Amino acid sequence: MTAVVELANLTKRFGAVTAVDDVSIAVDAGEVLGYLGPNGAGKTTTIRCLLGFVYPTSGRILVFGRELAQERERILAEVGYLPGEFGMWPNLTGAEVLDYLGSLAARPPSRRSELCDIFEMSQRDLGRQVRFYSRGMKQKIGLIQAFQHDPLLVVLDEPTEGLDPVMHDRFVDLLLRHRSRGGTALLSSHILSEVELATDRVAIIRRGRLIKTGVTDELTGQRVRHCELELREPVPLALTRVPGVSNVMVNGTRYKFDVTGDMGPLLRWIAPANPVDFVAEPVSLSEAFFEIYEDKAE
Amino acid sequence: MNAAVVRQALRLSRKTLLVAGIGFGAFLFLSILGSSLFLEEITGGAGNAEFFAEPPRAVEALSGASDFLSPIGWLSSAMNHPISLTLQTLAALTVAASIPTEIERGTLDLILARPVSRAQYIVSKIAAAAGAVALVQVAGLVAMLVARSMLDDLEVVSFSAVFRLFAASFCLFLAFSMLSFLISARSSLRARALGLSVGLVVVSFFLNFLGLLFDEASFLRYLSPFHYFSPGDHLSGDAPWYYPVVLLALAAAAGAGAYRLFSTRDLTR
Repeated sequence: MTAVVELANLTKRFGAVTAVDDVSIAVDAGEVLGYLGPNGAGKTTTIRCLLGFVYPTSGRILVFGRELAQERERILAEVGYLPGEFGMWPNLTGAEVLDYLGSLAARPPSRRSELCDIFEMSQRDLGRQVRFYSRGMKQKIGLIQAFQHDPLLVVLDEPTEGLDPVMHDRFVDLLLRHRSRGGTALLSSHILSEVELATDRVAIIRRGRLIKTGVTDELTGQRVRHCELELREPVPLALTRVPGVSNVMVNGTRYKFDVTGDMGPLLRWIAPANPVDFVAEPVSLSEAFFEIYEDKAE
Repeated sequence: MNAAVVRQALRLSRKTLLVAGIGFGAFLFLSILGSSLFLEEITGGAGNAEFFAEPPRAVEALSGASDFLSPIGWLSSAMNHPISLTLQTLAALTVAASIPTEIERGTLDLILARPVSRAQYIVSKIAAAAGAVALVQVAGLVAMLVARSMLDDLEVVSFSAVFRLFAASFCLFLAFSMLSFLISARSSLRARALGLSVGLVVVSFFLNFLGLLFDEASFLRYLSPFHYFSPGDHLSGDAPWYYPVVLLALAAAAGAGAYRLFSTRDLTR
C-alpha cells in the first residue's frame, strides 16, 4: 500500500528543547491514524512540520510521495487542515470565512453545502459575524473549511473540541465516510474514545519520542478485559487457574476479574459452570493508552 | 502574489485606512485654509511678521518649514505636522502589523495550510501595504488640489510640485511600512511589532530633528528617513534627485529582508 504521509526520522529542536525526536510514521492511503500523547508531547509540532509551518531540524517528510520541502504548495492543494487552536477573523461572517479560505484552495468548495447540513449550520448562522459564535460553532466552521474542498488527506488537531455529543458522532461518521471514499486522515486527539471509534492505527508519542504504534483494535484487544460473571452455584478457586485470568474478586456466586489476551480458555471454563450472566467489557483505548504511557514512564 | 490575500488585507484594514485617509485629507485642507487666514492677519499687522518670516531654528527643525508666510511654508508645516505624520504612519503600519496579528490569532495557519506559499503571502501583504500608503497619499493630494483650486495664494505652487510632494511622501511612508514588515516578519506578537514600528518612526523623527537643531549632531539626520523627505524642497523643486531614490532603496532592502526572514522562520506563537 502506498504511504500518503511518510515521516522519516523527523527531529525538531527549538534551541535546547527537542520537541520531536527521531519520529518515523507512515500513514497509508485510505487509513485513519490516531496520533496520541499527553500535552506537550510533540503532536502539534509534528503536524506543524508536516504542513511546513516549522522547518525540521533533520529528517524527511514525504506526502503523496513528494518531498514537502520541494513541493509544499502542490501537496497542500490536496490537504485539509484543522488546527488545534485556531482563530478566525472576528469581523467576517461564517460564510465570508469559508469563502475566503475556499478562494485560497486549489479546488472549489464542492462539499460546503453538504457539510453545513451535517453540522447544522444554517444560512442565518453563516450570516453572523464569527465573533458572536460559540466555541462549538467556531469548531464546526473549522471542520467545514477543512473538508469543504474534498481533500485527499485531512490533518485534524483536536477536531471535536467544543462539539456536543450529536455533532461529535456526526464528525466520526464524516471521518469514516472520508475513509470509505479512499481518503486518508491524521487525527491528533486526547479524546481517546473518538480515536478508538475513528482510527485504524494509533501512534503514541511521549516527550517527543514515538513510544508505540499499532492497530487500534489490537492495542485494545490484547489488553485486559474487565469481566463480571454470575453462576448458579459457587465454584471454589477454580477460576484463578484459567489462563489469562487475574484479579479475581468473589462475592457469593458473583465473580469480578480481568482477562488478558485470548478469551477461549475462559469461555470453555464458563460453559459447564452453569452461568446465569456474563459481561466482558473491552478495555478502552484510554486505559490502554495510560497503561502504555505508565509502562514507558517507568 | 495572491489577489485574495491582497483583497483580504485591504478589507481588514479598511476602517483604519478610511479614518487615516479622510483624517489626513481633512487635516491638510483645514491646515492650509487656516494658514491662509493667519497670513492675512499677520500681513495686516495683527502678528509678529518677523517671527513667522524667520522662525527660530528649533521651530524650523520641528515643523520642517523655513518660513510660515509663503504657501510653500504652510504646505511644508502641514505635511510635517504631528497629526499628518501620525495619520500617515497609521496607514503605513496597519497592514504590516497584520502578519503578527494573524500569527497570534491563528488565522495564518488556515491560510498557509492551503496552496499559498509564504513568499506569495508576504508579497501580497507588501502589495496591500503599498496600496494602503498610496490611498492615504491620494486623499492628501485630493485635499491639497481642492485647497489649491479655492485659494488664490496657492496658485504659485504648481500641480507638478504638488505631485512631487506626494510622490516623495509616498516614498517616505513606503519605507516605514517596509521597515515595519521587517519587524513584523520576525515577530509573533502584534503589540510588540506595532510598538517597535511606532518607536522606529518616532526615533527617526527625532534623529532628524536633533540633526537639524545642533550642528554637532548634524550627521544624525542622514540616518533618518525623514532627512530624505523635505516638503519645502520638493515643492520648490530644490530637493536632490536621490532623496526618493534613497527612500525607495530603503523600502526595497527592508521588503527583501522581511521576505527572507518570513520565508525562513518557524511559524510559532
